[in-house]
Amino acid sequence: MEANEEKDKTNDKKKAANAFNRRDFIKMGAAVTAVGAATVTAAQTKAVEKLVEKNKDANIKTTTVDKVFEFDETYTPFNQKDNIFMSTITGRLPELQKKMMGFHGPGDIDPETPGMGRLDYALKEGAYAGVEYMAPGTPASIPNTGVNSWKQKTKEDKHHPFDYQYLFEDQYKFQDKTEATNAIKKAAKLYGANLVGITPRDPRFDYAKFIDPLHKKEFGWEEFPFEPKSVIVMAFEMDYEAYSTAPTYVSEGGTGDAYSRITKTTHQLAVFLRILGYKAVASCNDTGLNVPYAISAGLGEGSRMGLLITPKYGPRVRIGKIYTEFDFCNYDEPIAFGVTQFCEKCKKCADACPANAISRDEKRSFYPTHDNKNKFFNNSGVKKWYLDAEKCFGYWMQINAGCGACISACPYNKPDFWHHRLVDRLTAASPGPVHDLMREMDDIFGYGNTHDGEAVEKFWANKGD
Amino acid sequence: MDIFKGVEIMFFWLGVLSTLAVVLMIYLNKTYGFDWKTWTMTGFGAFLFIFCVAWSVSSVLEGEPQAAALGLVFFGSPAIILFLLARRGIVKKLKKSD
Repeated sequence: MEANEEKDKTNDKKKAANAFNRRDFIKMGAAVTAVGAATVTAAQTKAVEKLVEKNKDANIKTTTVDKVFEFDETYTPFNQKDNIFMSTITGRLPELQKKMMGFHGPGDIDPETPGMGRLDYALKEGAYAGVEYMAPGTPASIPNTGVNSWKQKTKEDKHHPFDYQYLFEDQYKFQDKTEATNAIKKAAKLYGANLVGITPRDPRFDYAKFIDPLHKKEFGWEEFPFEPKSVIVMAFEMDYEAYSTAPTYVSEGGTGDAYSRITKTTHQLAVFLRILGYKAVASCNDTGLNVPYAISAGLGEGSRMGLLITPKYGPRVRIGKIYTEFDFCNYDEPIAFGVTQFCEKCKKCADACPANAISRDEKRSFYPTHDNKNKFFNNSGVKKWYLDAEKCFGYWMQINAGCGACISACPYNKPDFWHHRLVDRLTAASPGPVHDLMREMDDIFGYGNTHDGEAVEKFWANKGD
Repeated sequence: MDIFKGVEIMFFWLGVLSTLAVVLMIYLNKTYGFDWKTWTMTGFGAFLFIFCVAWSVSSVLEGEPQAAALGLVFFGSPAIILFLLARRGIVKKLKKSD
């Protein structure tokens, strides 16, 4: 009996020694969480520090924007007439111009091809209806049109007795920059922007000259009604399900709808600023380059396919902006969350591109390396991956719709769900080989399909509630 | 009223599931006396199991069934293996003490 009791006591002591009590469990959990959080934060901080350090070495001015942009001495601001839309419309790329006849028209409706039937075409045209009514041509970079007019409406230009949407003569004074910044961003969000950032105007990102493609008339900044000091940049999400069908009329419906929302929102924000007494011009793809402005306004990073990648929506956004003389605000700073490093390894957009227009070079360069590297539409002299715009746009002509396969294929293109944000953060904090693995996992998990007929069925099958 | 739908309901049930998992682990610890290996395996297994449920339900909600199925395989299987290993450890320990 005594021997048994002794044995039990010894067992209890062993048990107590081996047991991992609740306090230890909580301690261990807290420690693991702390180490995890510290690793992620440290890695992100390190990435930003690396960028700053790199640019210091290259003796580039350490202004906010120069943390992320590297220009060489040959860079000059881009001319609007050289971009792919204008050079095609004005006949400088005659082959593309021939194909462009009837582009976006109903002539190529094909009921046999998923996403290219009458219903899909109607969806696309309905989506573009807003921008086509309010500011026709702005998606193709035509400036000073419709509600994006450069004219600053005055009291004398009132349309009717109750029209007070003109430039007020006295300027509203904000108490401080934070109040002003918050007010502008709050208004932009109310009007429909998904992301907003404010950055100083940078002439390197503006078109050097503009063109009126109908009259082939060139004009410059001397016709702009004021000296812009700030640019308010906004990103607008495009529908995930619509973009899963890319390239089709359905996915272009996602694009057109974003353009219509951009036109509405940027016009509303321009009116907001004018009533506060500050001159403002709304802009879509015209007047200046959206992607560098969005990067410098802290909305995201540049990518292999040349588009903006935002932390929340990936590349599935369209961008609008406001040029304004207002500058009493806090400017946003560019952000880094590992996109450049991920793009070096991934190349999924290049694989998905049906026109083979996206660079496969591992590193970015100051000059294009593709087949059309010597053509005028390249805007060279800045470090990036260069897209072969002629091949890209040529494919649009071929299918009679905007493509978007690269956007659909990108691993950053995910619905706004918690688990994708978690994976993005883990990827950003991980070294190169993990990026390869993440790209493979993206395929295995079934994301990023293109030319997917089932996605079209799924889009139309889902209830619209 | 559609106050709670989709992801909100999922997170509510994840909260319930997490609480049940913690209560169950405490109960099993009291009954069988976990050592550090058992704690690690059941703790990590429970985390993976809950993560698996969260991942798969989220994938269904976002309309990506393949991601949901693969989530079950990638996160559910290791969770089950960890639970089985923990169980084997407990059974061994019980046999020894017998």
